[in-house]
Amino acid sequence: MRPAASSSSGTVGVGVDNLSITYRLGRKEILALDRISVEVRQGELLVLLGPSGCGKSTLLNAVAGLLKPDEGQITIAGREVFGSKGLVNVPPNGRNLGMIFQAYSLWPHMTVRDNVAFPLKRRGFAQKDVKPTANAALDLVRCGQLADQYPGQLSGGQQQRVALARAIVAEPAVLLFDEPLSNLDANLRRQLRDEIAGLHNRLQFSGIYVTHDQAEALSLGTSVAVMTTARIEQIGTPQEVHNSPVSEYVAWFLGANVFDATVDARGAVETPFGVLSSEETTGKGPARVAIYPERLRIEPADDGTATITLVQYKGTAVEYSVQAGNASVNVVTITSEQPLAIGDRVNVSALPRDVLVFSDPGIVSATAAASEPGQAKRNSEGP
Amino acid sequence: MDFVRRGTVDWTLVSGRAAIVLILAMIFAPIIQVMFEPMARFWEQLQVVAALPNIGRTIINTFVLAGGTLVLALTFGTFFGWSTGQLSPRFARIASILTTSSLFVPPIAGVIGWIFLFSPRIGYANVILRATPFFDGNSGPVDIRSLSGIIVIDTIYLIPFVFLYVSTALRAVDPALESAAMVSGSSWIGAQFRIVLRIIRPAIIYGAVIVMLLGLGQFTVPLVLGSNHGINVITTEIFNQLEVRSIPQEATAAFLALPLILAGFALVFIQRMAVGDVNRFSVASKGVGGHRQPRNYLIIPIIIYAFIAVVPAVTALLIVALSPFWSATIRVDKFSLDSFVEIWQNSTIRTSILNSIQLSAIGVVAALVGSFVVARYMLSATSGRFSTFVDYTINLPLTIPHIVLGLGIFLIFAVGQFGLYGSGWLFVIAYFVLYLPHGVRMIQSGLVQMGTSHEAAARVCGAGRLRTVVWIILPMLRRSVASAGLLMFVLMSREFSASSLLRTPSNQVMSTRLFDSYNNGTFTDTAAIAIVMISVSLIGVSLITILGGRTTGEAS
Repeated sequence: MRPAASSSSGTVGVGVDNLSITYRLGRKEILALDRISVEVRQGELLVLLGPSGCGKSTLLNAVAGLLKPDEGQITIAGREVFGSKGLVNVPPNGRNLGMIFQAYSLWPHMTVRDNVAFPLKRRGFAQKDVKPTANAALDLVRCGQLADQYPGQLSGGQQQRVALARAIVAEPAVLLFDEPLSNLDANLRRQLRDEIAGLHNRLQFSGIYVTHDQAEALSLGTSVAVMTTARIEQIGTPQEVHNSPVSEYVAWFLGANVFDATVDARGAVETPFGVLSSEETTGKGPARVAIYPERLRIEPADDGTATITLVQYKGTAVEYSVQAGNASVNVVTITSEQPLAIGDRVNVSALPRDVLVFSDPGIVSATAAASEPGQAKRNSEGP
Repeated sequence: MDFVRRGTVDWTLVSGRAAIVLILAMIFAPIIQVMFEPMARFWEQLQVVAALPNIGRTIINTFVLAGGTLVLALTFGTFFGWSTGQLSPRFARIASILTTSSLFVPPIAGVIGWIFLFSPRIGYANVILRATPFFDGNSGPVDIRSLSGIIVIDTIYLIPFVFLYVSTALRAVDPALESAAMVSGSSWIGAQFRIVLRIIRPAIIYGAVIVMLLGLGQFTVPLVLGSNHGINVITTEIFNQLEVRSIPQEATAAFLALPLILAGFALVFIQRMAVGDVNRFSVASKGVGGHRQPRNYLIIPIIIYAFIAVVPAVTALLIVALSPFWSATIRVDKFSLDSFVEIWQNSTIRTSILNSIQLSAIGVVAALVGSFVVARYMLSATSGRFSTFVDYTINLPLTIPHIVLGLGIFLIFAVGQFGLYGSGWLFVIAYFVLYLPHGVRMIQSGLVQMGTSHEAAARVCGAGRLRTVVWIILPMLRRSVASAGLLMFVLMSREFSASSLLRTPSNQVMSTRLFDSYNNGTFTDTAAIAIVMISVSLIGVSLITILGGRTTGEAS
């Protein structure tokens, strides 16, 4: 298992250009991808994050060659695998890929080693190398001792590790992850997430990772693309996407509280919780405010603007639901603080840099002007 | 212990268990009777059988027929099942209906249709073939009354069985397994052979065993096509011993049935061995991730099969039924419904049709009650020797040829102390035993889909066992019950193999009367009875399809 040549970093691992896919359900046409363009650089792990039905799995399957797009272009390691108006369409087995599926998808009739050896045999590795290479890949995911078992005899976590070994064993140009952790329980999910992150660090593979779990996306991705219906809303590093969401939707999907507010002439933000100030504001008028639960502060006060309506103990933290007028927000505080009770009056505040303001209809923020449909706003795009 | 709750006896449970014991006895008794009938004079019977004319040829024919249908039906059935898995959902549904459409033609009716087509001299298809430049003479080129003819026709009727097993198994295969092979470097065709077909191997083996058993036990087609022309198989020889000989030779017939019973037991055993550890083939994953591009052109071979299986034979029957007599030239201007009027005016034919409907209806009610009791028991007792025993026994009628079971029922209930010779109840008993496995299977799957929570909810709300069954379970199961009932009705109303031994000249059902009419009556009457039989089947199968369609609609 050698890391992909680091000298080639900066070159494109996967290029997707103006890709569109329409599903036909009876007479209805459903636009699954709307002129999507995105790039995965060599060694980069791009996470596609979005709710179910937003098209993220469709995009992944199109890159894999399991779905034929209507138009657009896909390149893998500089080679066109789909494009030229549909004239080029390399089948999945010709695209030099590895893929990890949600339901593990190990072949139940083959032993673990045979599963992992399969890509080597199909890609014409020398017979004498097949077994040692498969064993090495299994050792890498700490499943070497399972080589002679059948998938049906393994636990979910073990199966997914073996699937990981099968995907990386032939050192493909790109690794595709289709919600690989969503069938696992919370502890295993964390454990495997760490292992994938560790493997990416060591092997520096290029990959696309589909998930609807924001924590997974932020901790795994070297870059994160947040998708809405058929489009990419924002691409950036995890920090950029989290701290500078381009829209109310992105902030909301990453877990922020979103509520109505009014921006006055001086730029102060009037909310049901009181007046807040923000580093960046839209023009005067109605607006939407987004603030992450961890970045809100609450202080007990008899004349407080808001009321605690729910207290949830979370172990290391306490999550409060706080209501003022029609608006309700979640606030996360660490447990050492004095616990508050339902019905307590509180004042709510936040640092100006944590108060994100979006002009009313939401979608477009002050920092990223309206752009071409489908053109992702990539705020990491430097000069 | 289980029977007594709070000091009172749970009579529902007690009567349920008693019913199961009775059902097991009804299935076992005929089989044991057949096995022990020849035992008293085993060596004598062996000599009698060895001296039967052409017995060697009969045994060879049996294996050639079973082997030939096995290879052909397995190949085509697997191919059609696999093709259906490659179609878009809408096409797949059409393909399923098409492939199973041959089931609505009762074999006893269909095979007579094939005779009208491929009888050497005046078969319609032969006449047409001779009109082409490739063939001449005034006979042939095809003679359906041959061993190869029997194999081909039997194959047509056995393909749907393989298809059902294979396509059901394929539906459970996660498309992502195929995708995984393709992204791992396998071509699409390669993925089919290396992954998909290997994963469903247990289903293919199961289908093969079923077809082998059905092939060994084939009776209707060889009887009609072969027997009068000196082509016999073991089942038709059993029939000859009882029906053709002037004095029925029951012990000889039972002796001939022995190898078929043993083959049934052996093949089920071999199948369990061959499939091996089932666990390692079943990985819990279902339809998540991965895409399969539909290849709808694969429906074309299925359409061709369905056409061949249904249209020519039914058309030939219709033409003969409408014509004044069967001849090589079709005179459309002479078409009339006279033969239908004639069979209705013939009291023995009319009675046999009404008999079939009435006896099947009674059989359905009995089998539904039995199926429900057994299915409930099977689900409540998933482990333990007795439940395994129940499982095996209930499915025995699927592995033992119908004519053998018919023989056993005849020996016990007709000539034994029950003395039901000439009674309609003989048919009801046979129908019940033969088709119970179908009912149990369908009701059981209905119960599994329903889950146990509704029942538990009713019980904790204070309803007793019987009340829960009547007010909660049966209403929720009504669709499964209706489908199972209709399916069993269709199968019972066409049953021929067992009925052929149970009938008496004055107590006939549709299928046996049709056979007699073919042997002794006019061809036009025969064709008309066949058309009536097909219509009854068609109505039943259409209702099942409509019901099935609604069920899938609800599920999606």
